Amino acid sequence: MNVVVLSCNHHHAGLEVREKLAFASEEQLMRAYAQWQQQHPKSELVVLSTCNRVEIYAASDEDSVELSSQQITDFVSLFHNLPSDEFTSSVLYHHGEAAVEHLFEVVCSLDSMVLGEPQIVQQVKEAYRIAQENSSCGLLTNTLFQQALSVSAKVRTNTKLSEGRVSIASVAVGDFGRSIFNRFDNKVVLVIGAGEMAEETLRYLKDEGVKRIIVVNRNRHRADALAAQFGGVTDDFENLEKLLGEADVVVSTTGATETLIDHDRFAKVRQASDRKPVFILDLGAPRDFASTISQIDDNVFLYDIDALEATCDRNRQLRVSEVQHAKKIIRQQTDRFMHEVYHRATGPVIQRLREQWSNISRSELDLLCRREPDLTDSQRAAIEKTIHRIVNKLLHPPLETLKDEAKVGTPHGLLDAIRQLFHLGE
Amino acid sequence: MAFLSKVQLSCFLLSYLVAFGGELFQLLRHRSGMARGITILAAAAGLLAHTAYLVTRSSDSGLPPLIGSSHDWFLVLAWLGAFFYLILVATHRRLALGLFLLPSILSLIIMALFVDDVLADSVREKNAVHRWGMLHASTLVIGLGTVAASTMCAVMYLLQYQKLRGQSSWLHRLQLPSLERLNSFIRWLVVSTVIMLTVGLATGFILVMVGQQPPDGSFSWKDPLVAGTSIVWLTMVSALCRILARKEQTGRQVARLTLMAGGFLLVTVLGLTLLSGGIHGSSPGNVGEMIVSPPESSLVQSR
Repeated sequence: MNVVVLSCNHHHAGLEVREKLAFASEEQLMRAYAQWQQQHPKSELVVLSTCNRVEIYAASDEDSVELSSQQITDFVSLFHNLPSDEFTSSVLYHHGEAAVEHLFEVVCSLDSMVLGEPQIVQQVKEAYRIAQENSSCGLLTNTLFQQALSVSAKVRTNTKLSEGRVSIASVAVGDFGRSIFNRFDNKVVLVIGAGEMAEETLRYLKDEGVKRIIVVNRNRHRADALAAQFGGVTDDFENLEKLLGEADVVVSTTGATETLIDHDRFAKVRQASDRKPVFILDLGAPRDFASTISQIDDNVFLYDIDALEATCDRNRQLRVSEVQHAKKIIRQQTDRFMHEVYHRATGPVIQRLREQWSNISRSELDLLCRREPDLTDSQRAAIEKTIHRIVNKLLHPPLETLKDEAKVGTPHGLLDAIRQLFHLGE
Repeated sequence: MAFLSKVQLSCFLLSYLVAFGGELFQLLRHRSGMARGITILAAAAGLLAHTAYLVTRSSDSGLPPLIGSSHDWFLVLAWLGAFFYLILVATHRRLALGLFLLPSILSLIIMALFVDDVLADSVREKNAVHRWGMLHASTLVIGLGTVAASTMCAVMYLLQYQKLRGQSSWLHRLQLPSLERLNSFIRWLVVSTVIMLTVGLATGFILVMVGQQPPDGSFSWKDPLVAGTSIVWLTMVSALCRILARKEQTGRQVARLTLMAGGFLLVTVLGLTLLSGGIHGSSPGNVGEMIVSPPESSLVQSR
């Protein structure tokens, strides 16, 4: 088995290098696959190109095919028309078992910028799909990538690596919002301010099915733009109190230097409303809502940046604590994969050996039957069974030795010895 | 299928205990596919054994389990809990509902060990009154089940509330349904409880009035279940009235009210039942026995 990977990722390469090595479009990937097949017709290739990494997996199931890191470097250099010394110091190369383990770590998002992020699985699936469509996959890459996706599922099921959200907006909506409300499609969302945080939070709320969005901002143009982006409406800042009474979810991200809604003002709002649950995300710094408003009644749920950040930190810690557990699973799965690959290499020799011995025993049996025509069917069956048992018993020790040796690598020496000893040919 | 008849109560008690251990492990250590698989497998094995046990008892007595004895009542309630647990655990894999359901199931099974499991001869005769008795028993059992479920939801609501208010750091490990959903469940469960207990009580009194007088001719309000269920009914009706009448009540207030009402009533009914040795089991002549093991007893005696 021959697997080599060139890995250019956010750990070792800056954005300017990653940009130069990236395969930005499917069309570019198609050209890359065509070019690779022209240069290395007997090998397989899968390219994974995302904003954080460019990984090129080259593989060959045939021992006669030589694959080296230099070949991949030359290919990348030629394809991107980029001198190799501009990127070789920023990339890593892994060979054989290390390459397999690296892919498993990548697909399980142990190597991602945000530990445990789920997008990488889709990105690997997509890369594999494109490679398949370009006839660039073979037996080894097919097995390798299918196994990688299966390892990813296993790690996600058996660890808490992907649990807990780690961005402010996702924690706000996914952890707190969904713990308060069962559904969002019947909720009114009031956005005060039109900054980036408001936009990100709205994206998550929209994913949850929010339909009614009202944006208020002192600068009406920015409010209009944000509302248009998410299918909402805008209103005047002067109507804020009325709108607060109607809202189920309030996202506040103004750049106000003083508290926008104090305790008394919000208490009046609550008195005038039916005191339904209200979920307030105060993402402003300094805060837009007085912290005491959460004490007005049981149904006021107020969260500021610090509360959300504390949850993010806790979730990050939880993920980090799962890394060792995930690595253990990956190690086991890598060993298993390598063993299967090595064992597969012994398959043709074992098959030929079995066929040869089976043919010999059959011809000897036929000879015996011709010499002894009086043998009954039951006698013949008994002799046949005995010969079969003898063949199996004789084959057992060499096959077991092969199996044991295949646990640590393809047993080339032993396979050659068997071929020569039993005249199996190449 | 002869082995099914050999199933003991301890078989499913232990299975549910293993399932509860699995839930605790997933909460305190780490969630894994294997732990979840073992939990579900243990609960499913428990439910199978539980079903076999009830079916065997039912076929031995020729009666549905509900009207067999107090022992069966508790076990039927536990069976319903285990059945819902398996559905919920399969459909809501992230929610820690087993931490609430399984202890209740285990408590019911343990309580079943301490109550009367002898079938009264009087319940064996079948006639129209027998069917009323069945309806009476079923609605009361389901009513008590919904009281337990509403109490459980109220506990979950209050824990979820505490978690959202950041009042307990350990609660972040606990995955519970949203406050909105729990609030809706509590309201529906309180309504269902009132309906079930009303039907249960009404059918009980109908059974008495249909002419099945107890041997000593007296109607005893002291029967644990009659007294307990009447208190349950009155309290639940008043709780329902409060919940429905005051719309501005917050979910937390509703949960507290439900928890207090449901918890007190469960303790009262189950406590009285345990102390008296079984539902309608304290005195052979009381009206309670007339309700569940109806009328036939007095008929037999009068003959």
